[in-house]
Parts: sequence; C-alpha cells; structure tokens
Amino acid sequence: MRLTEVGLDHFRNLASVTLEVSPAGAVLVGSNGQGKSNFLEAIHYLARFRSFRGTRHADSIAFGAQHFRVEGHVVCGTGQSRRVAVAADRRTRRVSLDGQTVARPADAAGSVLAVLLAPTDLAIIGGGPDQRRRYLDGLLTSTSRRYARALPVYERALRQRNELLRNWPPVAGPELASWDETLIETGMVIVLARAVIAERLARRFTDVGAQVAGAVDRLGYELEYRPSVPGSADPASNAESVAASWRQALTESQPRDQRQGWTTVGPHRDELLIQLGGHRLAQFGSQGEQRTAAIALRLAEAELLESESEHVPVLLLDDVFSELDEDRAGRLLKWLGDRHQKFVTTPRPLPQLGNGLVQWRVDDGRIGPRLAAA
Amino acid sequence: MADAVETLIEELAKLPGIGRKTASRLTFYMLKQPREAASRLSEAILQVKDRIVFCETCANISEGPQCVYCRDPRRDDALICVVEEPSDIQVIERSATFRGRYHVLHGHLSPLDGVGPESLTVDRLLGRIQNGDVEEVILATNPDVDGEATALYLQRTLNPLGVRVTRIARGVPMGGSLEFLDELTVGEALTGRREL
Repeated sequence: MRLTEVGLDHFRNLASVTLEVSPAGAVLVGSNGQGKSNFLEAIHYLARFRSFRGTRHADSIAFGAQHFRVEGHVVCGTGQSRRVAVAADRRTRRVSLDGQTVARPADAAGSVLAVLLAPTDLAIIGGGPDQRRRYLDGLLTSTSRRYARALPVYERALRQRNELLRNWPPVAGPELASWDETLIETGMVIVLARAVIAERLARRFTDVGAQVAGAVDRLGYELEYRPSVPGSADPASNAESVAASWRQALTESQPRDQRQGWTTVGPHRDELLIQLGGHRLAQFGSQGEQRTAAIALRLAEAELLESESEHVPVLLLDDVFSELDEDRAGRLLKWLGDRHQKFVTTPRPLPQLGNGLVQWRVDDGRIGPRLAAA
Repeated sequence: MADAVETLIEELAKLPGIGRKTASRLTFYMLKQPREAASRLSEAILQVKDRIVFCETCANISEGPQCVYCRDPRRDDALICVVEEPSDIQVIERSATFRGRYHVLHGHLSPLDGVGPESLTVDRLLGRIQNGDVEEVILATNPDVDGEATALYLQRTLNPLGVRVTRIARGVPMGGSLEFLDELTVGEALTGRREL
C-alpha cells in the first residue's frame, strides 16, 4: 500500500500544501520543532483517525484556524485507489472515504495501514510491565471490538473490587465475590486475546531482532506472554475449566488481597516478557539492545498487520536512525528494503538512504524543496 | 432582564436535561400562559413533594403507606421483580407482561460511591421473603458492571432462603436483524439460548 498524494490544511504548524509522494516515500530533514513529526502525525491520522500523541483533535488545529483537514490518496497492491480524508473542527471530527463521509470511523478503518516507530517506543521495552500491558491493550483495542468492550468493563469491576478491599474488614465475603464473575467473564476475553496476539508477534519479533542486531547480539530476542492467572491463556481448554481456574485463583488470593488492600491476580498483573538471551531487557538491556527490541516489536507488528490485511503497511520512522549506531542503522535499512513505503524524519540528511527516497527539507512548517539526491 | 424572569430561568436550568436555552424558552412560554396554567404547574410540583412518600413494603414511590402495586389484590404475591429505581417499574409496567410485585433497591452496589448492601433496601427484601410466600425473585437490575454485581450479590444472599432466583435475559432485541448486531450481543444471545 502506497500513498501517492498527501494534502494538508491547517494541521499543527504545517503550511497548507498538497504533496506528490514517491512510491518509496520520503525523508524529512530539519531541525527540532520545524514540523517533521507533525507530518508523520498527519499520515497517522489517515490510518487511525486520531493523534499518536494522545491529544484531542482540536489540539491538531493550527493556531488561529477553525479546523484542520488531512487527505491522502492511497493505492494498494491490487491497484485499487482510494481517497481518505480526516477533518476536525473544535467540536467534531469527520472521516470520509472517496468523498463520502462515513457514519462511523470504524467503517473506514484499514483504508490506510501505517505503523509508527518512535523514540517513545523505548518505554515499552525499558519501562515497567504496565507499559507492555498498555502496548498490548492499544494494539488489541484497535483490532478487536470484543476486546475494546471487555477492557473498560474489567477495569470498572476491578476498581470497585479494590475499593471494597481497601476498606476491609467492614465488608463481607459475598459482596466481594459479586464482582468476581464480571472480572472472570471479561478477564477471559482479555487474556485469550493477549495470548493469541503475543504468540503471533513472538516469532516475527525474534526474526526481526536477529536481522537488525546482526552478529552483535548473538543471543536471541524473545517475547513471551505470562498471564497472572495460571492456565488462563490456553486457547485449547474449554471456557468452563478456564473459568474454574480463575475462580480458584481469586479464592486463593483472597487472604493476600485483603492484607494488601487490592486484587493481586488478573490480567492487570500480566507480564509480556521481552528478553535477550534469557535476560529481561527492561532490567538488563543496554540502550542499543532496548532500541533494537523496540524497533523489532514495531516491525513485528507491521508484519502481523500485513498478514491480517494482505496489504503492506506504510512505515512512519520518527527519528529512529539517529539513535542507532551505524551498523544497526545500515542493517535495519537493508532489512526494510523497499517493500514498505517509508516516511522518515531525521535532523541530518541520511547518506545511507539511497534507494529512491526523496529528501524534503522541513523549515518552520514548510515542507520544501528537495536537497540534492544523496 | 427582569429579576423574576431571571430567577425562573435559573431554577429551570438546574433540572436534568435542561440547559439555559431551553430554560429561557420555557420561561417565556409560561409568561404567555394564563395565570391558572402557572398555578396548576406550581401546585403539581408542590404536590409531588408533599404527597409522595416511599412505599413501606417495596420502597416504590407512593401516595400512602402502600404503593398502587402493593395494594392491588389481583397481583401475584409469589413473584417479586427487583429493580434499581422506581422509574424502572414504569418500563416494566408498559410491557404489560408482569403481574407480580416489585421491590425497589434505590441504586446498585458501587463501593467507589460508598454504596454497599446496607445503603440499598436489601434487608427489607430479605424480610419480605422470610415472612411471605414468595416463590421466585426476578432480578431486573441493569445489565452493566454494577447492575450485574448487584444481581450476583442478591443471588448469593437469597439462595440460602430456598427461593427461586432468576435474571432477566440479555441478547437479541425484538425486530432486530442479526446482521446489524455487534458480536458481543450475538455472543450473549448464543450463550443465553433456550430450548424450543
């Protein structure tokens, strides 16, 4: 899948412009604060209809303007072409497909597929288990409506149950147990979905990790899902027996839950182990290893997306190369090849990027004339 | 603007679902009405506050110690339908399919809001079952997180009393087409299927 044209109107600090895009993509060169990442954010809007910064739509409107609009022409492998646009004013956001506003943004989902690699990904690898759970939640919420429904219900029941535990002892057992069934019912949906997606990411993660790291890290990159409730992630066992092991886990943890004042088992305690040669990268990884793992995880995600949609996603590489040593950067580029259309931001021109990528200079919101092809 | 007009607008705007714009529309509408219309409205509002109490049996709203449903001799004493709010009774009555008695909880379990069983009318419900000839209790709390937990709590509390406890069904709405339902609702409907 490739973008052939991108149009911007009043998006953040970017000047309104319509850009023709080469099939290989583009490298955006410029100092900090000029608007390189804003351009990636605009393309991300076409894929997910919201900001990767987690900000409100109104925050993406240029100062002094009343609305923004981003439009992309996209051609997929089969040759079919579509026009996707996202526009928002201070109150509403509209998504349109080939000029027709869609009733629900979900109806236009998947028209543009994009995966973002950003320096903030490092937190997934180097941060606490909550970061990795949030990563899985984000991935699953955007791909499974069942998951998107189950997660907030689970979280609500969990908060209610924890509130009871915090005020222990005045509360009696049956009242505590009345929240358990909802935890189990929605928790089972959450854990099974996490197990399935982790399994599908794991092999790709190891492959990409090995390719990007080359001989440097001879030991393997590994990803493994460890659910907090024993036996809850086995897709082969039937729902009744899984529910039974949940009930047992909750019963067994009850004395501890009461002592500590919160629920100590469940998917909110799951871990997605990310290891190199059997050691947890969060604790023992070097910066370079953690960065490699972050890139491998996103690229594994891109492959997963491709296998599910049968379209090659666009890659948005936000300041990824400047953080890697030359060997890794070179191997990453080689591995990427030209399968994906790429949009790359960098403070300095990248000499290694020879393969058809057009270089654009970004200066004070203007995406400007090309530098001499490097 | 005249003070009296401003005061009425402010009071109306405090009502749920009414903003300042609607409040001022209502105010100017009342200005054009004859005095009797205004008097009937203000009297009706006062009557609601003065005459309505909670039924001593089921905690529904009532004009006397017993509400209309508890007084009605044709209703079935063996069946009690438990709801969260008095307004839920109106919905069930409109369906014209239930001829038993009611019990109003006045809320649902929510530890985050400090609501436990003692803040609801659970004790009174237990008393009704112990003293009467109730055979079945239908739990019609809302099918959301808190309503489900409340239903489960009641089920566990009522079971030892030897009464049949049932829960209203979830699933496919009447006149609906499967094609347009989300997978969660269809899943619920399949799990809760029944023999024909």
